[in-house]
Amino acid sequence: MSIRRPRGPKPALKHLAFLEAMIEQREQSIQARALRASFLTLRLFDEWMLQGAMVTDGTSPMLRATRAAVEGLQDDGDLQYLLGRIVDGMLMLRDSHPSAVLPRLAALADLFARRGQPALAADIDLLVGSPAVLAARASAPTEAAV
Amino acid sequence: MNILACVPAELLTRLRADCDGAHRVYAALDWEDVAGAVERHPVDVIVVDPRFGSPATLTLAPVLELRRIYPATPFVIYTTLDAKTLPAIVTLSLSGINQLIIADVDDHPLQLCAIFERQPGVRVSDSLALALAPHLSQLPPDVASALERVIHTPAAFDSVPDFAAAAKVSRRTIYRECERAALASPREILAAARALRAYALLREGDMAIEDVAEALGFSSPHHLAKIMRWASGMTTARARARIAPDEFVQMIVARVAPTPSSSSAS
Repeated sequence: MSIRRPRGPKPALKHLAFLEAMIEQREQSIQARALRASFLTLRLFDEWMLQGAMVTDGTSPMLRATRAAVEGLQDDGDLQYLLGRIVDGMLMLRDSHPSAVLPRLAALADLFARRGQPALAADIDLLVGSPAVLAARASAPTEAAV
Repeated sequence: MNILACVPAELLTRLRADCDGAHRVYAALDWEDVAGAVERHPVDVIVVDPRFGSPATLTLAPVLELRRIYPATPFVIYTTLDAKTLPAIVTLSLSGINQLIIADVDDHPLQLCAIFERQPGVRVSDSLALALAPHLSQLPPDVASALERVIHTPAAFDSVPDFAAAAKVSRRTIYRECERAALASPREILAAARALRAYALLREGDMAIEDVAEALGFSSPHHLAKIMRWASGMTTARARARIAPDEFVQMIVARVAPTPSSSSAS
Protein backbone atom coordinates (compact mmCIF):
# COMPACT_ATOMS: atom_id res chain seq x y z
CA MET A 1 0.00 0.00 0.00
CA SER A 2 1.34 3.44 -0.88
CA ILE A 3 2.22 5.72 2.02
CA ARG A 4 1.84 8.76 -0.20
CA ARG A 5 -1.28 10.79 0.44
CA PRO A 6 -3.16 11.92 -2.66
CA ARG A 7 -3.51 15.64 -3.21
CA GLY A 8 -7.05 16.45 -2.13
CA PRO A 9 -9.19 19.50 -1.52
CA LYS A 10 -7.95 22.06 1.01
CA PRO A 11 -8.71 21.11 4.60
CA ALA A 12 -11.86 22.80 5.88
CA LEU A 13 -13.66 23.14 9.19
CA LYS A 14 -15.28 20.02 10.52
CA HIS A 15 -19.06 19.94 10.08
CA LEU A 16 -18.93 22.72 7.53
CA ALA A 17 -22.18 21.36 6.07
CA PHE A 18 -23.99 22.51 9.22
CA LEU A 19 -22.56 26.02 8.97
CA GLU A 20 -23.49 26.22 5.29
CA ALA A 21 -27.02 25.09 6.12
CA MET A 22 -27.23 27.64 8.95
CA ILE A 23 -26.45 30.49 6.57
CA GLU A 24 -29.63 29.71 4.68
CA GLN A 25 -31.83 29.97 7.77
CA ARG A 26 -33.26 32.98 9.50
CA GLU A 27 -31.46 33.54 12.81
CA GLN A 28 -33.38 32.10 15.78
CA SER A 29 -35.73 30.15 13.49
CA ILE A 30 -36.45 26.57 14.59
CA GLN A 31 -34.19 25.26 11.83
CA ALA A 32 -31.31 27.60 12.71
CA ARG A 33 -31.49 26.61 16.36
CA ALA A 34 -31.65 22.92 15.41
CA LEU A 35 -28.57 23.26 13.21
CA ARG A 36 -26.66 25.21 15.85
CA ALA A 37 -27.44 22.68 18.57
CA SER A 38 -26.41 19.81 16.27
CA PHE A 39 -23.20 21.60 15.27
CA LEU A 40 -22.25 22.29 18.89
CA THR A 41 -22.99 18.69 19.88
CA LEU A 42 -20.81 17.31 17.10
CA ARG A 43 -17.98 19.67 18.07
CA LEU A 44 -18.32 18.59 21.68
CA PHE A 45 -17.93 15.01 20.50
CA ASP A 46 -14.82 15.97 18.45
CA GLU A 47 -13.21 17.65 21.47
CA TRP A 48 -14.22 14.81 23.77
CA MET A 49 -12.47 12.40 21.43
CA LEU A 50 -9.34 14.56 21.51
CA GLN A 51 -9.24 15.70 25.11
CA GLY A 52 -11.45 13.32 27.03
CA ALA A 53 -13.46 14.15 30.11
CA MET A 54 -11.94 17.64 30.41
CA VAL A 55 -14.49 19.02 27.95
CA THR A 56 -17.44 17.43 29.69
CA ASP A 57 -16.67 18.46 33.25
CA GLY A 58 -19.09 20.82 34.96
CA THR A 59 -17.02 23.96 34.34
CA SER A 60 -16.67 23.53 30.59
CA PRO A 61 -18.29 26.44 28.74
CA MET A 62 -18.45 24.20 25.68
CA LEU A 63 -20.65 21.73 27.55
CA ARG A 64 -22.75 24.55 29.01
CA ALA A 65 -23.30 26.17 25.60
CA THR A 66 -24.14 22.83 23.99
CA ARG A 67 -26.59 21.90 26.74
CA ALA A 68 -28.28 25.30 26.53
CA ALA A 69 -28.61 24.96 22.74
CA VAL A 70 -30.10 21.47 23.07
CA GLU A 71 -32.47 22.54 25.83
CA GLY A 72 -33.71 25.34 23.57
CA LEU A 73 -35.08 22.83 21.06
CA GLN A 74 -38.45 22.25 22.77
CA ASP A 75 -40.22 22.54 19.42
CA ASP A 76 -38.17 19.71 17.87
CA GLY A 77 -38.55 16.88 20.36
CA ASP A 78 -36.95 14.15 18.22
CA LEU A 79 -33.77 16.11 17.64
CA GLN A 80 -33.63 17.34 21.22
CA TYR A 81 -33.94 13.76 22.48
CA LEU A 82 -31.17 12.46 20.19
CA LEU A 83 -28.75 15.31 20.88
CA GLY A 84 -29.44 15.04 24.61
CA ARG A 85 -28.63 11.31 24.50
CA ILE A 86 -25.34 12.00 22.72
CA VAL A 87 -24.31 14.60 25.30
CA ASP A 88 -25.41 12.36 28.18
CA GLY A 89 -23.44 9.47 26.69
CA MET A 90 -20.25 11.54 26.77
CA LEU A 91 -20.95 12.68 30.32
CA MET A 92 -21.45 9.15 31.57
CA LEU A 93 -18.33 7.69 30.01
CA ARG A 94 -15.19 8.59 31.86
CA ASP A 95 -12.85 8.11 28.88
CA SER A 96 -13.31 8.87 25.22
CA HIS A 97 -14.42 5.40 24.16
CA PRO A 98 -16.97 6.23 21.52
CA SER A 99 -18.63 2.81 21.30
CA ALA A 100 -21.68 3.78 23.32
CA VAL A 101 -22.10 7.14 21.61
CA LEU A 102 -21.68 5.95 18.02
CA PRO A 103 -25.14 4.36 17.70
CA ARG A 104 -26.61 7.64 18.89
CA LEU A 105 -24.65 9.56 16.27
CA ALA A 106 -25.79 7.07 13.64
CA ALA A 107 -29.39 7.67 14.76
CA LEU A 108 -28.81 11.42 14.35
CA ALA A 109 -27.51 10.85 10.82
CA ASP A 110 -30.63 8.77 10.08
CA LEU A 111 -32.86 11.56 11.37
CA PHE A 112 -31.27 14.10 9.03
CA ALA A 113 -31.46 11.65 6.13
CA ARG A 114 -35.17 11.08 6.78
CA ARG A 115 -35.69 14.84 6.90
CA GLY A 116 -34.17 15.23 3.44
CA GLN A 117 -30.85 16.69 4.56
CA PRO A 118 -28.37 14.22 3.04
CA ALA A 119 -25.37 16.57 3.34
CA LEU A 120 -25.83 16.74 7.11
CA ALA A 121 -26.33 12.98 7.35
CA ALA A 122 -23.19 12.42 5.27
CA ASP A 123 -21.20 14.74 7.53
CA ILE A 124 -22.11 12.64 10.57
CA ASP A 125 -21.48 9.37 8.71
CA LEU A 126 -18.01 10.70 7.91
CA LEU A 127 -17.41 11.41 11.60
CA VAL A 128 -18.62 7.96 12.67
CA GLY A 129 -16.32 6.33 10.12
CA SER A 130 -13.31 8.59 10.72
CA PRO A 131 -9.97 6.89 11.43
CA ALA A 132 -9.72 8.55 14.88
CA VAL A 133 -13.12 7.25 15.95
CA LEU A 134 -12.47 3.79 14.54
CA ALA A 135 -9.09 3.63 16.29
CA ALA A 136 -10.61 4.72 19.62
CA ARG A 137 -13.35 2.17 19.19
CA ALA A 138 -10.85 -0.59 18.51
CA SER A 139 -8.78 0.31 21.57
CA ALA A 140 -11.78 0.35 23.93
CA PRO A 141 -11.27 -2.34 26.57
CA THR A 142 -14.92 -3.35 26.62
CA GLU A 143 -18.11 -2.14 25.05
CA ALA A 144 -19.38 0.31 27.62
CA ALA A 145 -23.10 0.03 28.19
CA VAL A 146 -24.84 3.32 28.82
CA MET B 1 4.27 28.99 21.70
CA ASN B 2 3.83 32.34 20.01
CA ILE B 3 0.37 33.53 19.05
CA LEU B 4 -0.27 36.53 16.82
CA ALA B 5 -3.75 37.84 17.57
CA CYS B 6 -5.72 39.79 15.00
CA VAL B 7 -8.85 40.02 17.10
CA PRO B 8 -10.94 42.78 18.71
CA ALA B 9 -9.84 44.07 22.13
CA GLU B 10 -12.42 42.01 24.02
CA LEU B 11 -11.15 38.70 22.60
CA LEU B 12 -7.53 39.82 22.95
CA THR B 13 -8.10 40.34 26.67
CA ARG B 14 -9.48 36.81 26.96
CA LEU B 15 -6.62 35.34 24.93
CA ARG B 16 -4.09 37.08 27.14
CA ALA B 17 -5.86 36.06 30.34
CA ASP B 18 -6.14 32.44 29.20
CA CYS B 19 -2.82 31.92 27.42
CA ASP B 20 -0.27 34.40 28.72
CA GLY B 21 2.27 32.77 30.96
CA ALA B 22 2.09 29.45 29.16
CA HIS B 23 2.38 31.14 25.75
CA ARG B 24 3.28 34.50 24.29
CA VAL B 25 0.44 36.50 22.79
CA TYR B 26 1.35 39.32 20.41
CA ALA B 27 -1.31 41.73 19.23
CA ALA B 28 -1.54 43.22 15.75
CA LEU B 29 -2.81 46.80 15.92
CA ASP B 30 -4.77 46.47 12.68
CA TRP B 31 -4.65 44.44 9.46
CA GLU B 32 -1.90 46.66 8.06
CA ASP B 33 0.25 45.90 11.09
CA VAL B 34 0.10 42.09 10.72
CA ALA B 35 2.95 41.68 8.24
CA GLY B 36 5.14 43.92 10.42
CA ALA B 37 4.19 41.91 13.50
CA VAL B 38 5.29 38.68 11.78
CA GLU B 39 8.61 40.40 11.06
CA ARG B 40 8.98 41.53 14.66
CA HIS B 41 8.03 38.31 16.46
CA PRO B 42 8.29 34.57 16.12
CA VAL B 43 4.78 33.39 15.19
CA ASP B 44 3.49 29.83 15.48
CA VAL B 45 -0.21 30.52 15.06
CA ILE B 46 -2.16 33.45 13.63
CA VAL B 47 -5.56 33.97 15.26
CA VAL B 48 -8.05 35.96 13.21
CA ASP B 49 -11.50 37.39 13.74
CA PRO B 50 -13.20 38.80 10.63
CA ARG B 51 -14.64 41.51 12.90
CA PHE B 52 -11.10 42.80 13.65
CA GLY B 53 -10.66 46.42 12.64
CA SER B 54 -14.23 47.07 11.57
CA PRO B 55 -16.85 45.31 13.66
CA ALA B 56 -19.68 46.83 11.59
CA THR B 57 -18.47 45.47 8.24
CA LEU B 58 -16.57 42.21 8.25
CA THR B 59 -13.32 42.20 6.33
CA LEU B 60 -12.11 39.00 4.73
CA ALA B 61 -9.65 40.26 2.13
CA PRO B 62 -6.80 40.86 4.62
CA VAL B 63 -7.19 37.37 6.09
CA LEU B 64 -7.20 35.75 2.67
CA GLU B 65 -4.12 37.79 1.72
CA LEU B 66 -2.34 36.69 4.90
CA ARG B 67 -3.19 33.07 4.10
CA ARG B 68 -1.61 33.58 0.70
CA ILE B 69 1.56 35.08 2.19
CA TYR B 70 1.92 32.61 5.09
CA PRO B 71 0.46 29.32 3.84
CA ALA B 72 2.68 27.26 6.14
CA THR B 73 1.52 29.04 9.31
CA PRO B 74 -1.58 27.64 11.02
CA PHE B 75 -4.53 30.02 11.16
CA VAL B 76 -7.30 29.82 13.72
CA ILE B 77 -10.61 31.66 13.46
CA TYR B 78 -11.70 33.08 16.82
CA THR B 79 -15.06 34.80 16.66
CA THR B 80 -18.70 34.66 17.64
CA LEU B 81 -21.08 32.26 15.92
CA ASP B 82 -24.00 34.34 14.67
CA ALA B 83 -25.79 35.27 11.48
CA LYS B 84 -23.29 38.06 10.79
CA THR B 85 -20.12 36.03 11.14
CA LEU B 86 -21.38 32.74 9.64
CA PRO B 87 -20.78 33.57 5.95
CA ALA B 88 -17.28 34.82 6.83
CA ILE B 89 -16.49 31.66 8.78
CA VAL B 90 -17.59 29.51 5.84
CA THR B 91 -15.56 31.56 3.35
CA LEU B 92 -12.44 31.37 5.53
CA SER B 93 -12.94 27.64 6.00
CA LEU B 94 -13.13 27.16 2.24
CA SER B 95 -9.80 29.01 1.97
CA GLY B 96 -8.22 26.22 4.01
CA ILE B 97 -8.57 27.40 7.63
CA ASN B 98 -9.78 24.37 9.53
CA GLN B 99 -9.81 25.50 13.14
CA LEU B 100 -12.58 27.52 14.75
CA ILE B 101 -12.78 28.84 18.30
CA ILE B 102 -16.26 30.08 19.11
CA ALA B 103 -16.28 32.97 21.59
CA ASP B 104 -18.21 32.11 24.78
CA VAL B 105 -18.23 28.43 23.84
CA ASP B 106 -14.64 27.29 23.40
CA ASP B 107 -12.69 29.96 25.23
CA HIS B 108 -12.00 28.12 28.45
CA PRO B 109 -8.28 28.48 29.34
CA LEU B 110 -7.45 24.77 29.09
CA GLN B 111 -9.52 24.38 25.97
CA LEU B 112 -7.94 27.38 24.24
CA CYS B 113 -4.40 26.25 24.99
CA ALA B 114 -5.18 22.71 23.86
CA ILE B 115 -6.50 24.00 20.52
CA PHE B 116 -3.42 26.14 19.90
CA GLU B 117 -0.98 23.47 21.00
CA ARG B 118 -2.30 20.94 18.54
CA GLN B 119 -1.80 23.19 15.51
CA PRO B 120 0.76 21.68 13.14
CA GLY B 121 4.33 22.65 13.93
CA VAL B 122 3.71 24.17 17.34
CA ARG B 123 5.00 21.37 19.56
CA VAL B 124 7.96 20.44 17.40
CA SER B 125 9.04 24.08 17.04
CA ASP B 126 8.85 24.53 20.81
CA SER B 127 10.90 21.34 21.29
CA LEU B 128 13.51 22.53 18.82
CA ALA B 129 13.72 25.98 20.43
CA LEU B 130 14.14 24.35 23.83
CA ALA B 131 16.89 22.03 22.59
CA LEU B 132 18.73 24.94 21.01
CA ALA B 133 18.36 27.29 23.99
CA PRO B 134 21.98 26.87 25.17
CA HIS B 135 23.19 27.87 21.69
CA LEU B 136 20.75 30.75 21.40
CA SER B 137 22.07 32.19 24.65
CA GLN B 138 25.54 32.47 23.07
CA LEU B 139 24.28 34.58 20.17
CA PRO B 140 23.90 38.36 20.13
CA PRO B 141 20.25 39.24 20.99
CA ASP B 142 19.26 40.26 17.44
CA VAL B 143 20.71 37.10 15.93
CA ALA B 144 19.10 34.93 18.62
CA SER B 145 15.77 36.61 18.01
CA ALA B 146 16.06 36.07 14.25
CA LEU B 147 16.95 32.42 14.81
CA GLU B 148 13.92 32.05 17.06
CA ARG B 149 11.79 33.43 14.24
CA VAL B 150 13.37 30.97 11.80
CA ILE B 151 12.41 28.11 14.13
CA HIS B 152 8.82 29.24 14.65
CA THR B 153 8.03 30.88 11.30
CA PRO B 154 10.38 29.18 8.81
CA ALA B 155 8.35 30.05 5.74
CA ALA B 156 8.99 33.75 6.35
CA PHE B 157 12.63 33.23 5.34
CA ASP B 158 13.53 32.44 1.75
CA SER B 159 17.29 32.66 2.01
CA VAL B 160 20.31 33.48 4.16
CA PRO B 161 20.13 37.21 3.26
CA ASP B 162 16.59 37.24 4.75
CA PHE B 163 17.96 35.65 7.91
CA ALA B 164 20.84 38.13 8.05
CA ALA B 165 18.51 41.08 7.48
CA ALA B 166 16.23 39.89 10.29
CA ALA B 167 19.30 39.61 12.54
CA LYS B 168 20.43 43.10 11.44
CA VAL B 169 23.88 41.83 10.49
CA SER B 170 25.72 41.08 7.27
CA ARG B 171 25.61 37.69 5.60
CA ARG B 172 29.19 37.10 6.60
CA THR B 173 28.57 38.03 10.22
CA ILE B 174 25.66 35.68 10.59
CA TYR B 175 27.82 32.79 9.36
CA ARG B 176 30.45 33.78 11.89
CA GLU B 177 27.98 34.11 14.78
CA CYS B 178 26.46 30.71 14.05
CA GLU B 179 29.88 29.13 13.96
CA ARG B 180 30.82 30.80 17.23
CA ALA B 181 27.67 29.37 18.88
CA ALA B 182 28.54 25.88 17.61
CA LEU B 183 25.62 25.90 15.20
CA ALA B 184 25.43 24.69 11.62
CA SER B 185 25.63 27.22 8.82
CA PRO B 186 22.66 29.60 8.41
CA ARG B 187 21.83 27.84 5.14
CA GLU B 188 21.58 24.50 6.92
CA ILE B 189 19.59 26.03 9.76
CA LEU B 190 17.03 27.38 7.30
CA ALA B 191 16.83 24.03 5.53
CA ALA B 192 16.41 22.18 8.83
CA ALA B 193 13.67 24.53 10.06
CA ARG B 194 11.77 24.13 6.80
CA ALA B 195 12.18 20.35 6.91
CA LEU B 196 10.76 20.33 10.43
CA ARG B 197 7.76 22.43 9.43
CA ALA B 198 7.21 20.26 6.35
CA TYR B 199 7.24 17.17 8.54
CA ALA B 200 4.74 18.76 10.95
CA LEU B 201 2.38 19.86 8.17
CA LEU B 202 2.49 16.38 6.68
CA ARG B 203 2.12 14.51 9.92
CA GLU B 204 -0.22 16.77 11.89
CA GLY B 205 -1.78 18.89 9.18
CA ASP B 206 -2.99 16.13 6.88
CA MET B 207 -1.59 17.92 3.85
CA ALA B 208 -0.34 16.32 0.65
CA ILE B 209 3.38 16.52 -0.14
CA GLU B 210 2.78 18.77 -3.15
CA ASP B 211 0.79 21.23 -1.03
CA VAL B 212 3.43 21.28 1.70
CA ALA B 213 6.22 21.88 -0.81
CA GLU B 214 4.24 24.75 -2.28
CA ALA B 215 3.35 26.23 1.14
CA LEU B 216 6.99 26.25 2.23
CA GLY B 217 8.25 27.76 -0.99
CA PHE B 218 10.15 24.72 -2.28
CA SER B 219 10.56 24.86 -6.02
CA SER B 220 9.13 21.34 -6.31
CA PRO B 221 8.27 18.27 -4.20
CA HIS B 222 11.58 16.88 -5.45
CA HIS B 223 13.44 19.74 -3.74
CA LEU B 224 11.52 19.04 -0.52
CA ALA B 225 12.42 15.35 -0.83
CA LYS B 226 16.09 16.27 -1.13
CA ILE B 227 15.99 18.38 2.04
CA MET B 228 14.00 15.71 3.86
CA ARG B 229 16.48 13.04 2.92
CA TRP B 230 19.32 15.28 4.15
CA ALA B 231 17.48 15.90 7.44
CA SER B 232 16.17 12.42 8.14
CA GLY B 233 17.75 10.01 5.68
CA MET B 234 14.31 9.07 4.35
CA THR B 235 11.89 10.09 1.64
CA THR B 236 9.27 12.65 2.62
CA ALA B 237 6.43 10.12 2.77
CA ARG B 238 8.50 7.63 4.80
CA ALA B 239 9.66 10.29 7.24
CA ARG B 240 6.04 11.27 7.85
CA ALA B 241 4.89 7.70 8.31
CA ARG B 242 7.80 6.22 10.25
CA ILE B 243 9.49 8.90 12.35
CA ALA B 244 7.89 9.99 15.62
CA PRO B 245 7.84 13.77 16.28
CA ASP B 246 10.38 13.65 19.13
CA GLU B 247 12.73 11.55 17.04
CA PHE B 248 12.42 13.93 14.10
CA VAL B 249 13.22 16.90 16.35
CA GLN B 250 16.34 15.08 17.57
CA MET B 251 17.41 14.53 13.96
CA ILE B 252 16.97 18.25 13.29
CA VAL B 253 18.90 19.15 16.44
CA ALA B 254 21.72 16.92 15.26
CA ARG B 255 21.78 18.85 11.97
CA VAL B 256 21.46 22.33 13.46
CA ALA B 257 23.75 21.88 16.45
CA PRO B 258 26.09 19.06 15.47
CA THR B 259 28.30 17.75 18.22
CA PRO B 260 31.92 17.23 17.15
CA SER B 261 31.39 13.45 17.03
CA SER B 262 28.16 13.63 14.99
CA SER B 263 29.64 16.08 12.48
CA SER B 264 32.69 13.94 11.94
CA ALA B 265 30.46 10.87 11.49
CA SER B 266 28.29 12.49 8.79
